[in-house]
Amino acid sequence: MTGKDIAKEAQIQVETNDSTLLRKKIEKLSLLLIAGLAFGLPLVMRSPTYLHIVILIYFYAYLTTSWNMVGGFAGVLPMGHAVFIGTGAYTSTVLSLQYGISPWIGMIIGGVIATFIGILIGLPTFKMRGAYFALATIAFAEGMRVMVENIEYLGPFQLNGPRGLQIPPLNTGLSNFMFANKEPYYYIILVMLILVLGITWFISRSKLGYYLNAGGEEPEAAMALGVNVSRAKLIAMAISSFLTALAGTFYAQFSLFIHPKSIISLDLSFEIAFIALIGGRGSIAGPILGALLLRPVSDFSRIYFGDVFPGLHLVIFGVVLILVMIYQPRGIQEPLTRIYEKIVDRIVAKYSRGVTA
Amino acid sequence: MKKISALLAITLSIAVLITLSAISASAADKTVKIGNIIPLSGPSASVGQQGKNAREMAVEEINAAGGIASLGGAKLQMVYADSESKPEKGVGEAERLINTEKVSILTGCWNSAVTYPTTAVAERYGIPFVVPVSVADKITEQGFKNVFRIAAKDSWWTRDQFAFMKDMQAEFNTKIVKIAFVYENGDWGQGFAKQWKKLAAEAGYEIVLDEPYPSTSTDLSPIVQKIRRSKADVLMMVSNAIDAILLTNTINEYKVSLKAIITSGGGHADPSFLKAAGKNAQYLFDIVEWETDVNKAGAKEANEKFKAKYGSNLTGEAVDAYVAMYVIKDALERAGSIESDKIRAALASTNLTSGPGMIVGYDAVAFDKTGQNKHASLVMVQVNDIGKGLERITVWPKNARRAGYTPVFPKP
Repeated sequence: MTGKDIAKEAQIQVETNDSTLLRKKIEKLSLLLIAGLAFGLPLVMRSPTYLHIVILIYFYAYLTTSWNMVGGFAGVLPMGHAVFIGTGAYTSTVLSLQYGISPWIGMIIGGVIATFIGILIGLPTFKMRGAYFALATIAFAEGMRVMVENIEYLGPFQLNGPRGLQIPPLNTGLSNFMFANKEPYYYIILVMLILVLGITWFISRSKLGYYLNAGGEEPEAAMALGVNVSRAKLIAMAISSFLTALAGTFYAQFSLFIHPKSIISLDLSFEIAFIALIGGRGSIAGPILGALLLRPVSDFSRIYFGDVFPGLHLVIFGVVLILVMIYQPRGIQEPLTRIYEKIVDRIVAKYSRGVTA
Repeated sequence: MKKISALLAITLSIAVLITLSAISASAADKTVKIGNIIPLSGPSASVGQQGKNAREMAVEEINAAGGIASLGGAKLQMVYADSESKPEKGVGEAERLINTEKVSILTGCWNSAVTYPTTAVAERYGIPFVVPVSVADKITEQGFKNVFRIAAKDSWWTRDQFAFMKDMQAEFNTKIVKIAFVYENGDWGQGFAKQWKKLAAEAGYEIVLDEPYPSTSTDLSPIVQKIRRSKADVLMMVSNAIDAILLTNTINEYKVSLKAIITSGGGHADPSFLKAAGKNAQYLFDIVEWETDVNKAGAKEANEKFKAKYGSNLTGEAVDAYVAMYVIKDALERAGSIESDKIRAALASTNLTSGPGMIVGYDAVAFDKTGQNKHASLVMVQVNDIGKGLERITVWPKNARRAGYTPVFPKP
């Protein structure tokens, strides 16, 4: 290699370094911009109705992100996550209604209980493959719902069977996790969402994340390399069920009424899975994109068509689901990521050309 | 990281979109907006549609007759929202109707489980909420000031079912000993069952079966087997339309012999029930708030008009929805304002005894201090064919019985 060549090489090296730095900068900027927008949104959007819809978008994005740890990275399809939502909601609500314990503490207790349930469900079921695992989790969730529907009192705890529990909207305040307007709920779920995204990001680049990925794609190969696949899955399940239960408490405090049909229902479990499938399983952005697409489709079509053509919103929801599954089986995150990449490429190209010229 | 950034870009654009649509709020004109949260899709869609039709008919009549005179002839404008029978959807829709649509009054929600949390939203905003027909007792027992219920509450329904049984035994000299309870396992069914058990114990009946079932089941034959094995004299049921049809047909298929089947409105009162169950429903007793043969001025005309318009008879629940609109009209007329607290005060002092809306079986609508219509009452009907095809014939109380009809009891 001549000296000239080396110099040229070095030049290219510097340029690529520059462009990766630039990319990082763009990413950081857009992240900051989005975070700023998300935090500033309630200042612009004064309507409680729209705030309600956005809160539910975040809520579902949160749920799906928590689900994604098992359903996305570990490559299995849990269809019974409503169990954990129910556990969280019921635990904190019973504790606050009967013993006056702040829902914030109940939230953590509910999370711990859900973790145990998650491990209990995971121990036998993670040995199953594909559809069998999905079916087993559905069975657990439905079993749980039927049980709660038929239990008036669980020991000293009043569950009220199918009639559910209502939280009287009396003592508002931060320590009671109850507010008269929507903004506090908005910020709570936004912070929860950011935290869970952070955890996912962290896991996805940790050893556990790689174990999960390997176990999800080629379990035999991963085990041959000495990866304890089922242990990794169990840890993911524990984290996922804990985080999901926290959202249960949030839901209870937000809607102030829980009953088995709304909170331990298969509908809810399926909705989480749908969002993940539409958004893109196993990616960090997938759940958020899925929630951003599906929730408004379902809400606005119900609002605008629910009165004129009853049931049409469910048809629209189904059509969107089918179209995305046919044309983007890996979820809408894939084409969107490509578009984003292109835009960044263009910016980087323009910028570096500007510098060298 | 790249994926995160992609999501950020999308969030941005959607956030902007939502904000834009939020800004374009609706402008108010010379109408009174009434928000109605009813199940227009999902398992109770059929009753929801009935309720919607009845409301439409009442509002058309009211508007055609000049609207609300004290508000300068303001017209009633209906805004419907679909609850899908889900509480969280109902709550979300209540928020939307109050905040975005700016409705003055809310009505709904048929499903007690939806009405319960939804009235809490209305209470928080101080918007009057007229409940035509969610029967769970606790709806008017929450200490809310803005909730008014037209229909009888479920403890009154069960009370009258047992009073009816007692009267029938005396009239036909047939003894009832064993009774079986089969009910949907939701809020509504469990509420009835709780009362039944108490009343049965008081009256000294033997409960041979106590069977809740999920109303979404597609096969109820195990339940019917249990009914048959229980050898009950009387079967009491609470069902939604689809499971009412399924149970009635399966009971006939299995040739279960019973002295009487006593049902609790809802699915059994739904027009689709008689169509689909047909002959299998013969001799069944149902408790309702209203029947087409009720002896009230205007009732027959209203029913004929409804049938011509929507192709089915008015049901008790539809009549409640119909009357609710006239109760609202009456309150608005007296309030002379669309301010929530004035409407609320007017509703609280309602004493509606006559007028085009009063086609109900009872004589007046007036609310006690919990918001319950204290005059609401019920009738028992029997499904029978007396030469004009299967119809619902009023049999109880005895003074309301259709002239010349003798109930068939026990079931042949």
